[in-house]
Amino acid sequence: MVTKLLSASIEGLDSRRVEVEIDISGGLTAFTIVGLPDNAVKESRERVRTAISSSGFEFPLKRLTVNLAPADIKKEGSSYDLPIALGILAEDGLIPAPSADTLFAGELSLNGELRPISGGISIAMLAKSKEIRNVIVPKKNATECAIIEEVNVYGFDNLYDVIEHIRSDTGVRHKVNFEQYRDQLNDYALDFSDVKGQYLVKRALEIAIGGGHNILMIGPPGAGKSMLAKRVLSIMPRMELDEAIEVSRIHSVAGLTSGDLVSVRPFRDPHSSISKIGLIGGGTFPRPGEISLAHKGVLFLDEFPEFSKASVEALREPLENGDITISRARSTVNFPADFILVAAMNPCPCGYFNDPYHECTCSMNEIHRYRKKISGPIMDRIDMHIEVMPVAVEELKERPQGESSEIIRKRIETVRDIQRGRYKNEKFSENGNMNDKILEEYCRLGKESEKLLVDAMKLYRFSARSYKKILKISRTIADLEGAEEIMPQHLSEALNYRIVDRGI
Amino acid sequence: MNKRAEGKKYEKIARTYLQQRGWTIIEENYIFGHKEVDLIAVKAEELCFVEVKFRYSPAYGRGFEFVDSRKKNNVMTAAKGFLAKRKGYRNFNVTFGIVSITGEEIDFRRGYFKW
Repeated sequence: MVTKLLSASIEGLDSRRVEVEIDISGGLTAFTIVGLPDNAVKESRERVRTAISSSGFEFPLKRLTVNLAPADIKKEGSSYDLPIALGILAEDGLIPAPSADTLFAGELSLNGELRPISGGISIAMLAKSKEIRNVIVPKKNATECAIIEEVNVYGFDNLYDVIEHIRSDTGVRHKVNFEQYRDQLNDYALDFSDVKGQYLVKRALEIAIGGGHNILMIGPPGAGKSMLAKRVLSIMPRMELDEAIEVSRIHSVAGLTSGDLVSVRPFRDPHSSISKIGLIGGGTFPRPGEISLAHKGVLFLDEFPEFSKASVEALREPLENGDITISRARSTVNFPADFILVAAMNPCPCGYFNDPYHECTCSMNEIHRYRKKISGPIMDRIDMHIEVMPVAVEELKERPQGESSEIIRKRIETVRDIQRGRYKNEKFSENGNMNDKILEEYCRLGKESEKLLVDAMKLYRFSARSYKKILKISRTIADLEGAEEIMPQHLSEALNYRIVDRGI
Repeated sequence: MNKRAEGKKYEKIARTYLQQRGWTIIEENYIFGHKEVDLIAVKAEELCFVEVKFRYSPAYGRGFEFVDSRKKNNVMTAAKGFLAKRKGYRNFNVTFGIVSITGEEIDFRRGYFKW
């Protein structure tokens, strides 16, 4: 007789069904795992053996064979511990056979406790699509799994509790109320009112977040670029349920959540020493990079020119498409990467070019070389460019407190609602992601605006992409005002965000 | 007392110890080629190949820690030889055990030599 249990493997963001088969026979004692296990899976033998003894059962001194089917895909990670342990106990007749309508995943510790695994949501989604009714996971993963309502999710603290549940159905179905869960967590330590002055930059950031536009801040050191960027998180609109599922899934696969739901938009600020793989994603078993971890949130790249050329150039496609496809010899996976890029840089190597209070010591040549680190195509893909000027010391004391993040966030949520309503039949929901076909329809200009744009195009020699970006930004500015049509004042403000960098 | 006699003495202690715990000793100093197993014991459906190890004091470690991989391989080879000859034991669960005598202390552990 062979005992079979269902479990799952993770491939990219998706999960695949894996059958765990256990056979016990007489003969030379052995405990073998076959079916392309990696080291973490092979080591599961030691964990399983000790966990079974710690849970008060005798580990059978017999010939044990575990097969992970299908045998031709690589199995990695520690989530097979639980099904293997249960299978051995069931095959040895110590516990009743678990139902075939249940999916098991969990890592065991030596004392029999269940530790959280990565990719919980993907596993629950697999159960939903394959119509497997129950999912048994470690308690810490239960919340993320239970967000998939169609599946009965049970979370347990240790192996013994799972066995009790199999024997006499003692478990309680885990449920989660997303609205409640989200409201618990919206509390930010950093607020926009901490930043004095800088109204123009705050306005630009509001437009960027409101419409999902990428933004580059250029300014001397100490002007407040990083300070402003770090507060962007506090004005991000609340996440909807479907967005939270998508984001949590990525973070869960990357092993960052330890089983919690991500209910606040992500803010990722990798250091400039990050490798291309770290930023974009990749590896033998492809894992999401920073751009995917920033999905539906903000990717903040401080000291933008310090990032390696390869990393920055690799941003082109994700900036354009909102996702990234990673091809490796073994597999090709697609990770979503729909983020708002907030980048900050100094105008020149010494940092003080254009600064009213300091003298710049760079030669024109040095400045050119510095700016060349960010190529034209990347600059072109960043919708908004804005200059951040330092606030004078006297002013810092006198300036009144600015608006609080909460007020700004309310406005952003309103403007996002307008967009969601307008694009309810489209695949995107922000102005920044509008595709070209739709552009003409939603960004129609009046005669006056049309003339203004044509004149600006001639004067500044904008690219076709710039033209579209200007239209999208104007759309957001008009939406912020609640205007149906794009007026010349909206357009001219949008133009402002494209010409800052043309000074030299 | 020479070393061989001393070994015999402790093997006898081990044997009594196992018998008291319900094991039947079916072979003593089983030799296959140049490989030797100290004791072969049977209980229920289990066939256990036993190595006896003696230490005067635990100061430098207990008996278990002094069964090295060469010794394990020897016992494994002898065990396979035994199973090849005595076909009646084929369907038993085969385990490997160590009786560790450290001074006055005696202990028996069994499990797998190799996974």
